[in-house]
Amino acid sequence: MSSGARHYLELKFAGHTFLMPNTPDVSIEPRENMQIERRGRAAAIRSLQGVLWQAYILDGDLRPVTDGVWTRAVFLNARAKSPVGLLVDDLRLLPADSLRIEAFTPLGPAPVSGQHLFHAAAMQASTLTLVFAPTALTAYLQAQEGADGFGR
Amino acid sequence: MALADNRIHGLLLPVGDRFLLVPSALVAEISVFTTLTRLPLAPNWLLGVMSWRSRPVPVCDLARFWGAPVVPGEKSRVVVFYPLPGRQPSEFFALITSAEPQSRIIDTPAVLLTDDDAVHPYLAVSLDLDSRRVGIPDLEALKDLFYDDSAAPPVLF
Repeated sequence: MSSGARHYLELKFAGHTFLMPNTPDVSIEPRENMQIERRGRAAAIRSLQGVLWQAYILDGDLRPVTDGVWTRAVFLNARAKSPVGLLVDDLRLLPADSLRIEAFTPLGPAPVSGQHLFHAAAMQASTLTLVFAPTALTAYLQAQEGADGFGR
Repeated sequence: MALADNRIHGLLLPVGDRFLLVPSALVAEISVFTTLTRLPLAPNWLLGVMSWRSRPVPVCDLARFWGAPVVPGEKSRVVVFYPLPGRQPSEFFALITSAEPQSRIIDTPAVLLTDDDAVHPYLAVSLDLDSRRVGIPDLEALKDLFYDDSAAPPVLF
């Protein structure tokens, strides 16, 4: 299946690898541009023109956790009023034409209202890598804001 | 099911401690158990996603709805189903079985229906077949289980 994305971001965190289309409202910040400051479930923040951008460490089950190895923050919705970030250990930019992306429908209830977190997979010979739906991931991370504590 | 002179061509799928009888025409392929990619935040009956003919196909364990889950092993198989009626042509799905499915041609007048599982949400009917209790899946109920109608269909960017 063809995709309009020219590039995908390969995101590595918690020992897992995922992909996400690289859209214009994605902003990547190195760790040194971030403040390590816990706010609710957020693990780090970026203050920009008086606006706090919160970023989260997720485990392999995509639950927010307090600690993890990360080197960069990937902010989504960066052109809007409420960017939200995912802290990753490593990332790479991959050209879309180097990947075989196939859409699929995850089974079961959508974790975010009206949206599944994954909408496709990059197919290899016998394995695959899940592809985040950016709007769903944004909504999922934003849903963590204002929540206190962990172990939900 | 494929009916010809009151005969049904079906597959008996060993799923946990019981068998499911499905029309052969619904099954695209039976393959050995393969590497699955786990889907975070998925329900426990969704084991993961596998690569099948260069497609991502979700793999389910229905045994969890009536007993112990299937333990994947050498005898396990993955039964890939064609998309359910009314779903998108790409929406193949798969069930894990405890052992190799068995082909059956069943004479419908000889089948004895039981009502043991009549209240089970994912079985349309149960029957006694070769002294085995066999359930026929309720495809509409499975469709309701599988697909969240409130979720937007997948769109690639």
